[in-house]
Amino acid sequence: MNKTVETNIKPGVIDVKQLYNKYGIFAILIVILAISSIISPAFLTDTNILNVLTQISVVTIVACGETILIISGMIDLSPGSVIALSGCLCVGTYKSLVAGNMAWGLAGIISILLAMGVGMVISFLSSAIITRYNAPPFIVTLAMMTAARGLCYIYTGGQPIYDIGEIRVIGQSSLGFIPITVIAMILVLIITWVILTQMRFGRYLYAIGGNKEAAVASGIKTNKTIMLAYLTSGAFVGLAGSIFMARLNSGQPSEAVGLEFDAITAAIIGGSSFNGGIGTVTGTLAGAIIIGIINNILNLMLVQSYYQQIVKGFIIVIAVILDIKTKGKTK
Amino acid sequence: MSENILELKNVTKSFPGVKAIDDISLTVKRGTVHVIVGENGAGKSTLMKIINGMYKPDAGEIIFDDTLLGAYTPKMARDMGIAMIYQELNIIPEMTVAENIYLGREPTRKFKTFIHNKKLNKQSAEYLKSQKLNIKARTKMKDLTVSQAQIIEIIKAITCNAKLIIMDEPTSAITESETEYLFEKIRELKAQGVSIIYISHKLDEIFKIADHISVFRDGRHIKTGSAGEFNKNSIITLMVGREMSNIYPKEEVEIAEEAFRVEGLTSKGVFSDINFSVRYGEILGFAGLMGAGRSEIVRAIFGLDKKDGGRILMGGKEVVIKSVNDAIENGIIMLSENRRKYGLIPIRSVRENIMLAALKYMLDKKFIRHRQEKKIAQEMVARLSIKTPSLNATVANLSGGNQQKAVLAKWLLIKPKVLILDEPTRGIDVGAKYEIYKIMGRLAKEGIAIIMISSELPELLGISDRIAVIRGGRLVGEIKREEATQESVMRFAAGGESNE
Amino acid sequence: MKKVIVLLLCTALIIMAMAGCTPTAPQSSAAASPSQAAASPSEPAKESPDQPAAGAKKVAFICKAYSDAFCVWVKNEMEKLAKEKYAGEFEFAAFDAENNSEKQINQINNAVANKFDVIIFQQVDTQAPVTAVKDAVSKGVTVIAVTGHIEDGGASIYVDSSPEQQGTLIGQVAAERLAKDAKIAILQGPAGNPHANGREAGFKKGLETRKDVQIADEQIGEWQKEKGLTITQNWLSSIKDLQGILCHNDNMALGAYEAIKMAGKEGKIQIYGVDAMAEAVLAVKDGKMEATVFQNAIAFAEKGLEFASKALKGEKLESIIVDSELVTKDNVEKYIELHKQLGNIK
Repeated sequence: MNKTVETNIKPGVIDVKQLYNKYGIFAILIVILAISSIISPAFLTDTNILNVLTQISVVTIVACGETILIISGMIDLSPGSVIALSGCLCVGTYKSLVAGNMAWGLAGIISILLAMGVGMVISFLSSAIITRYNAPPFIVTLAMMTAARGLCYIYTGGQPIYDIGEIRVIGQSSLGFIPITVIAMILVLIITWVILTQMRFGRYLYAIGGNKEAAVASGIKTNKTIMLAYLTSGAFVGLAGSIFMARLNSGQPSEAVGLEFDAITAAIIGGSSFNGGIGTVTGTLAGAIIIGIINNILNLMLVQSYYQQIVKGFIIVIAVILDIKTKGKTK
Repeated sequence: MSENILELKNVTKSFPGVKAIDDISLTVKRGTVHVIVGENGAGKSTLMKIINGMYKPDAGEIIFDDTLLGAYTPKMARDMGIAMIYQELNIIPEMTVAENIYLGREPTRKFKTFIHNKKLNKQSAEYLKSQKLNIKARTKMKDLTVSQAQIIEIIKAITCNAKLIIMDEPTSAITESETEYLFEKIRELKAQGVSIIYISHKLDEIFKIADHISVFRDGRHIKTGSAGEFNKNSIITLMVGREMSNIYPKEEVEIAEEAFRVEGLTSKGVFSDINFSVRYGEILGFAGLMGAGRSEIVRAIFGLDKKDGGRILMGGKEVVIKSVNDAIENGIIMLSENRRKYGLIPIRSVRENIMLAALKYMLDKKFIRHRQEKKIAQEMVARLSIKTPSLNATVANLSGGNQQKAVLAKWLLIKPKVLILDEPTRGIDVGAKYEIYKIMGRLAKEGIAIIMISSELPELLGISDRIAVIRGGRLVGEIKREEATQESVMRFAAGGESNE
Repeated sequence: MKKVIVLLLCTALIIMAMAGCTPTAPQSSAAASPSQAAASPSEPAKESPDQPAAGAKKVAFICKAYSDAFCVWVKNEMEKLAKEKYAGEFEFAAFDAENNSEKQINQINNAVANKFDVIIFQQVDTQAPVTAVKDAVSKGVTVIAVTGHIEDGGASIYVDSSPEQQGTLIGQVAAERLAKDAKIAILQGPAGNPHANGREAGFKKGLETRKDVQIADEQIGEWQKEKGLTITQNWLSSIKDLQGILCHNDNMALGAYEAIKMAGKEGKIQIYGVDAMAEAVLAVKDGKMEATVFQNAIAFAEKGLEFASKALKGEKLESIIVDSELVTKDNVEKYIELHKQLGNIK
């Protein structure tokens, strides 16, 4: 049961908490950017900035999907495995199609669409079970995580798919000076932004996450909306999988383990709430960039691996605590 | 020992942007029931939270039991002998009744860290039995009805040997007989020398127990006197700051043809064979004791709950309602009695809440046109006089009355044919209630058929054209406005007996 | 509700059938425990068409992780050999420990309970399975460790390679090839991993003769190609004149190569790896990598099964170390041929 927050705030009065809520994460981002540029001269170079952007692309794409889900009160733990599955399927299919003399442009498109399709099928399955049986998303997607990984090993026979061919360009090349992975990331960010701020579908996500009973009682078809959210996220993950393997120039069935946690962390740092009903795509992007910068700067500074883990964990804990303190009381 | 258990001197408290309590001085005599009335935002709850230690006053003194108090916490307050029953229930759903009653003072085993569960449950069961309460000690809080949960909260406060008990709207969600039970307890406590501060909107009720009455308005203490010095109208005048001649504004409305009919509506074990109809422009009141099944009936009509049998007809034609969508598409709308749970998305903005249903059933576009939306929401806010700092304010920050108006706004946007209101004015102050009655009247004039469930008989009698009475899941009587009196309604509702 | 269960069961059955049909016949991790595998209808029929007589001997192979390409290589080899050479002698079943010590212990215990005569395994951890292994040995089961060994005082026999020897081979060839005062970086396996530790020691030993070579940084790449790529990308920004990257395994080395390629620095930085995976030997041939080390997966499989066969005949066994071989451009063709025969290179 909720407690009434007892304030009757008159307009015009500055409330620090609300300010932090909206803009805090960007302030942190700027601070971290500033500190990083000072600490390492290598940080603010073109190459390094582009590196950071490519390095966060896959996680950010997945984080967009997670943001959509977290806002509606759901979650998905399967992206890491689905990235492996869809990514390997993408490059494997591409390799076969091209070997069968298909034009590489067409083969590429088919392969990527196939990957996105696989991602969507898996999410569809998850969401069907979640909505039909009112099953907890955590458990269902956890099961899907194991199953998808298994499917990936079956498909690849446990060995990497190498010599994948031209499709690697979507992960390794640039259009002009912008890497294709970054273009994909920007596209997904824009789509997510449109969904969340311009579409009725997005409004419904916030409503369902904020108070599912009230959403139902207001005439919203909650099951349909939730399944659509999962489908969207699944498509994103499929795309991310294609990019991931393309960047590695091979289909690696054992990679991307735990990637979903990086994505979820980015979303939470960026202001999405596990309780649902709150979250923005700009926040998630900021969260992903912050984590990306931290990883990058620790690497640039040649900090030892073990210490990197500690620093990362520490910073994430601080961000989350700040987030809780400024959100006020939640359910 | 002075005759005052509590003395407040010039207490002031502000929050960002608003002065909630403005220089209030108040005394509460020992062993008396001191009632505090006032509109929402008058400062009653804030003052209680100051007394109970949750807030620290910006200025002023608090003298409790002849001791000047420094800063203190709610726990310290409890230890000192100040107990509080909150208006908004803060229950932990998975906790059992027994655990809840003994929270903080559980009987322990040899080593203090282990709770003696058997003892806990046995003592609780005994206590509940001795209080003649039909609640099992092991029931989880979430499985209790709202009124049962409230009673448990009351018991909790009563059993911890307080010197001063603060009760904030304790009867807002409990049945008539439970209210009687509470009043009996209050008299018992008084006899034991315990002092009680009692906040209520129910002006008819307070005269049954009040020794003294204080009226607050806009954060200020307006007047205090013995109960005999006041009557209902004088209190209302002081609360609102103006003369209110007509508490229940009733318009002359042309009642048209039949809008809505229910035949043989049944839900096994909950209600059976419900038959009634409503016409356009008519206000049908649903009377009955709590637990009679009124909410369940309308929830089934609205498609929120399943039904086992019966037909629903709109304008003479049968409609199939299996989900909320079906109901809405047939023009049937329901505002739940639990607006927090079913009516609002508390963490979202006023604008989003108002537009929630309209996005599909009025505008029906996949993309949101923000400027258009703003205009529509703004119009609604003005039309219903919703007090909010802005359209983007979080709806949880609005007062109860304004929240209810926001929910109404949401539904009015999609032009219902039949509007079902379940306890629409619960927890809302007199001024806001009046506004809602006026809105209802306007809607009736516009031709909407209205069904109103209420547990406040005066309200039902004042607003309804007809009153249907539900008892034990059956419709036991229908009374026309002219013939209805509190007694006649209660006779049907309670079946002549004085318990449920 | 019923419909959905039926649907799910059908899907599961289809997946299991698919698993039975793929050429390498891997088992999904769901059927990891020996008892289930013994019961599943498809496996024995496909792997040993000449059924040994009733009361036949059983050999279990507990693979460290199907997610580890090298381990899977050994497993595939074993399955092939078991079918070709030992079908009349014993039944062979493989299981996936999923890189989980506990799981492996359970699998060892289950194998004993299910009356397997020989257990061959790749240890996940050198200490964890000791008790289970000693218990198995005390019940008359022969236990053989391949591609590693455990600290059990000789209860099990091992067919192992020496990570340090592997590392030394690389260190030495790097010592020959690196320019004067070269700056290098090292991509490491997971912390505490004996292969990683051994190879690290080997790298440094091999480079002893080159005191002028500086190790600018070492980072843990967790055996992963993606991490190898990202770490190298960042190194390229922060280490001036990086000239060599030594990696504890091929995956990370190949990842490093991708990063170098994307940065346009091909040919300017030497890359070394270990494992001689198919992709790596091709890389060595093309000059993308300087060298790798062949862990003789085939020898592991051969010797492992050979020891099993000997044990079943009651012969005494002695642990052996299988030498790893350095793979450079000079001798890479041999290994490419090998991979072609195995079907890894088409």
